[in-house]
Amino acid sequence: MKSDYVPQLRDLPAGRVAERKRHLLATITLEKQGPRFALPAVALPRIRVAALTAPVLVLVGAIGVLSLDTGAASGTPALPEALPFSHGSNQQAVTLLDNASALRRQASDGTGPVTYAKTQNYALQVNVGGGTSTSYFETTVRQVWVAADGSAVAKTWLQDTTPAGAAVGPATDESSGQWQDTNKGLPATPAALKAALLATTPANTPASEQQTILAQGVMSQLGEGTATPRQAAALYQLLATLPGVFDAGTVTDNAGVAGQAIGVPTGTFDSGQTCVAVHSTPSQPQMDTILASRHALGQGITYLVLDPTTGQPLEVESIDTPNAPCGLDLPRVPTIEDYNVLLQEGQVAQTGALPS
Amino acid sequence: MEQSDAELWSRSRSGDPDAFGLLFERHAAAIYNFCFRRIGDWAVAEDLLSIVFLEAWRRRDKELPGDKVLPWLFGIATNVVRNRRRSERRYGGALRRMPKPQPERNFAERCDERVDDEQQMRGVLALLAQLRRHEQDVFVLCGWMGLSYEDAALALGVPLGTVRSRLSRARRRLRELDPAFGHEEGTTATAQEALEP
Repeated sequence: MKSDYVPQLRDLPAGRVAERKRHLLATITLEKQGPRFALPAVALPRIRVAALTAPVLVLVGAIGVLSLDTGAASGTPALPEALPFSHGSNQQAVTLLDNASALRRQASDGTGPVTYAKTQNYALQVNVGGGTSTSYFETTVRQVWVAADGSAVAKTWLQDTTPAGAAVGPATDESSGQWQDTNKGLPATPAALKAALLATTPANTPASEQQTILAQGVMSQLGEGTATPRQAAALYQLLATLPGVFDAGTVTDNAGVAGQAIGVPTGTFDSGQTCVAVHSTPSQPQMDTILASRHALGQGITYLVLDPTTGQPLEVESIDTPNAPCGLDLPRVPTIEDYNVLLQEGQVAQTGALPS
Repeated sequence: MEQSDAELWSRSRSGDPDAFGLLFERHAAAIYNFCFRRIGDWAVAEDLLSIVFLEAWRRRDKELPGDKVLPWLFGIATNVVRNRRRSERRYGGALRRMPKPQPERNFAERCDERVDDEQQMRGVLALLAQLRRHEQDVFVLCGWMGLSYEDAALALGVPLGTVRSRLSRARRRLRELDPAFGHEEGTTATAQEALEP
């Protein structure tokens, strides 16, 4: 792709704007003439959950869709709960990372020419409208096979889940085909790794911003699931040098595996600006609160969960604290921005094969 | 004097189809191009354009800040593209009532251009497909459609900081995937053209 590539903009074919407009207006006018021409019913805020109460199930059955109208801005969306992280010492985190790094450096690359990784990703997706918030609780499951020459193939599915992570309904094929592993060629020493992660950052970038970029970079690479043991070791060592790293206690990750968590600040966000943009009408009762919090900063924290006995990464989870911006009408609790659970990894004989 | 988006949206909310039609004329090109950039097929993009506006009409009870109509439409378009099959099924009846397009002049020349666009876009979308879907959403809105971080946050319903971090990750990954890739926002005059009335 050319470095400045932007797809060419085109007008609609001649006359088609007017044609489409006529059709649009005819359709919305016909809508008033009876059910035959009715547009779909007004959107209900959808919260995809498996464990609905009986009366709600009756409602869902009656309207014939897997949707639930929360009916109010204060309705509690079915967002996944952040893992119960704690806030411990920097020294403890550094010790943990040093140990995990040593374990990874001793680990074997495994047998088989093809690296396999299976991950599950969730990302916060909320629509706000009419005083209600709609959360989409959908994850992407991805299998990747990376051959010895670096070529890779990936297959992904979409999967709805409950807040506890249980699958809801069948997974839907999303895509499959060639892939490029971003861990390919990543250095396995902390200094070279740092240089690689900052390679595209301008030299005059403030140090604090560089630390954030490094923290995001380290977590992103670990979350891919394809880092070799030596790369993971270097990523841990680099993480240990970043300011603000802290021990976050023992947790059970979203795949049900117990591990040790380490947290690192990964940037701030101005929640107030978003709130003003979303609620700028007098009818919104939250307005006073929003104006008062205009300059409030939220803090993003990203957590790595690892297996302290093997040093293997288990999950990377990013959380907005103390809560997501108020304009999103979400509960005032730490809110997951995204997580990557590393479900399975190993070396296999060929692309398409699974670890035993 | 030309009416603002805020005025037209206010009239649309009270059920005025003419005002809604003017909003369609004003923003059709931007939404059409956005849909193409997510799908890579001009004909499908045209149908999705209709669906986006039908969906916007259906949600006309929505109160919007005056200058946020277009970002909100981009948000609807993002969801329509994301749930393309479901959207096409829901609006199948309305789309079937769309009259067949009339033959146009210079059709062959335009057709060649559009086939080239679609071929090129297939390669680009294959690269974009290697990002997480939420990273693709932010990249296309901010990088190609020229939305500010604030407008992208409104369109996608995510915190401002999330837009920043997703865009940063998307750009970094794209550079890793293709070292020649280095588009910076604000340099795309053509993208701006689509956003201006």
